[in-house]
Amino acid sequence: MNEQHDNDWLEEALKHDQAYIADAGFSAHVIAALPRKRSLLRAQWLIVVGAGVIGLLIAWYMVPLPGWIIESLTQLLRARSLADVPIAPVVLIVMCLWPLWELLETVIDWRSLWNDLVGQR
Amino acid sequence: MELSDSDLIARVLLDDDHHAFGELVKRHQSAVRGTLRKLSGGDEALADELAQETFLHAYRSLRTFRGTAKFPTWLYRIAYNAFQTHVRRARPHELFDEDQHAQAQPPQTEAVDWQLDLDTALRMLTVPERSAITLCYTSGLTHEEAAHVLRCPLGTVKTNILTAKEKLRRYLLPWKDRKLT
Repeated sequence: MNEQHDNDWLEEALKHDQAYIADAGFSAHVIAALPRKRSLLRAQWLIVVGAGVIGLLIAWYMVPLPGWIIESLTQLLRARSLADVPIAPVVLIVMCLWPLWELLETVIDWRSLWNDLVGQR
Repeated sequence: MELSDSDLIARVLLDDDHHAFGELVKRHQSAVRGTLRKLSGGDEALADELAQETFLHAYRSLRTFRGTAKFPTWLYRIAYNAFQTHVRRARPHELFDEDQHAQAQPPQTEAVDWQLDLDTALRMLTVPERSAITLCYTSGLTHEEAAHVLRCPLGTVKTNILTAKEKLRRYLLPWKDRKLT
């Protein structure tokens, strides 16, 4: 009986312990830290990719690829072992893709996109 | 008319409405921060940091919220995960120390505040005990909901609550009459 009385007191004290905590700028802080709007991110993604494709087409039209690049790329595709891999096209591909990847990573919130994809499944 | 949590969630999912999410944060910030304050033994700065982490995680994972549990319960689960991650990183400081418990003196009721004593008492509990007692009493979850948040069997929650209450009762006994009157 006495133990029950002790528990009642303790439970009552614990239940009434939760006082309301004033927001005091907390919500605004959270909102400010939210990732940018997804629609904006998609638009940016389209702009970056679109501009990249158009730029490549213009460059291709104005400066046709030299024969050695095409030859090296064909060689790369046909390579059967690491020793056959020509260095020049590999370096060229890395040089083209790396900045593009960096640019995309700066612009796109991959985590949000991934969550979008996972959430839609 | 005030929109329900479900309406606000729908707005966030459909239009990526930051304003609607802000409303959800305003609505639940006190409960989440309060729970984290208790879990972290009264460390307000840490609790607020974990609360912010909780809401940002909730925003990113909102699509995975199926509505099988109540929205606050889902938030508590994220908050508890954030807290657990913190504990794992700072494990040595968070472990329950039997010696510390044995040496702890009952509070001088005339001199110290109830809130401080309660926070001290909560810090003496093990993390599972503190979590169970906080979720069931401070946050008002049922034992089943607490088991869902803590990802442990219902029996474990009940055992942890019993043990925690026994320890708290022993430590906070000098406050008994003051609180009852």
